[in-house]
Amino acid sequence: MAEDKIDCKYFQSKIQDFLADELSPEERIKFLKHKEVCQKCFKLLVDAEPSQIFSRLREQRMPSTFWQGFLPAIKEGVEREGVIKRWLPLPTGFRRLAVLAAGFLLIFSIFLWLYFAPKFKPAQRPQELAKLSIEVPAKMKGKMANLRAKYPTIELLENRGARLYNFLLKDDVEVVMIFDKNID
Amino acid sequence: MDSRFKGKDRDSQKEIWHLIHQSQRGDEEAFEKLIRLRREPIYWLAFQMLADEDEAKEIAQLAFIKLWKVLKKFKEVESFDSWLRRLVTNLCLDELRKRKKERKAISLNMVAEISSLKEPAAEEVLYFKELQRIFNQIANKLAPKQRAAFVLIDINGLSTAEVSKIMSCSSSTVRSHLMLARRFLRQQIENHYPEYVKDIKREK
Repeated sequence: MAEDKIDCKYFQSKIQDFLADELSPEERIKFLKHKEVCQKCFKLLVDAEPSQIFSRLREQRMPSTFWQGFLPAIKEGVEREGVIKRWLPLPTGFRRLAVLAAGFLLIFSIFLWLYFAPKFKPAQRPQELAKLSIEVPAKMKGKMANLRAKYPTIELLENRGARLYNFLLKDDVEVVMIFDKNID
Repeated sequence: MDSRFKGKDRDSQKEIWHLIHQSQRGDEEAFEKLIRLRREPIYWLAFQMLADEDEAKEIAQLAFIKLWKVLKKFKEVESFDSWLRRLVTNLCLDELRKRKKERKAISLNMVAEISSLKEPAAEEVLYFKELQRIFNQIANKLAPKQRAAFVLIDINGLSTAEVSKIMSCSSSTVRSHLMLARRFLRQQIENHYPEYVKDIKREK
């Protein structure tokens, strides 16, 4: 199709191809141009596919009065965007998203640190607890009764080579003491 | 191709490119001219999608505000028009999804009311008003993507390939949306407006 225009016969032969989107881009443009100017061919197209009647909607125009206030609203929007950009000079697109995500993570980390740091205490070693809270009796042999009076929860476990004392202090700290069986 | 969008000849394309070029240098008057040249197709594209004059106008304005922000990126007129169409289509699809989510689909009475705004006397304009009213009533029941495919291809005259870029999906998916939209519209016309179509054929 070297010519700019197509005739009615050609248009009618291509209606089904047009509806199936099988025309080349050039043919398609010529077909659409012919459809806009030839009422007879347009009717045939609507006969073949009634929904094509709505393609006429593209011919609508708005009265000029409709556009009153259109440009000022865009100007206002552009200026508003400019103000936001001046006060918040963030990069655009994914970079903006990355900056915002990093900022959020930083704030969240500070919050976590402030919230949990005062509650966190490092675990105290048993030896230090022993020093702080009780005096371990020097001679254990034959003194279990005395010990039980002082530490009601005390338990004594004996194995072949070791002796184990397990008891609770006043502040519910559990103490486990293991001695060689030969040490008294 | 939609003459409102593409311009009738190469001169209008040259003019568009010239205006883009001047706007890129910060010329606000050129940008205003650019808006005047493209506001009509942008508005109608949004209106066919949303069937709401105010929302369509707002989306057209939003599109031009975004255009001003990214204007310097455009290197070709073609990418400019595609970008505008893509932007408006996506804004409309978002709006339609939001409506569906909020279950605030416009009632048929409301559509009729909106369409009867601004009363001109010309017979042709009345014909378009009526056609638009019928389209709004029927297309309101279409899925957003089916409606977008029909509006872009059958009303705006774009090809399937162009629409697949705008909607970011394959050509076969676009074709499938279009076929479903056409089938639904055809059924609705045949069931509810058979006389109307015959009358139009007779009158035209």
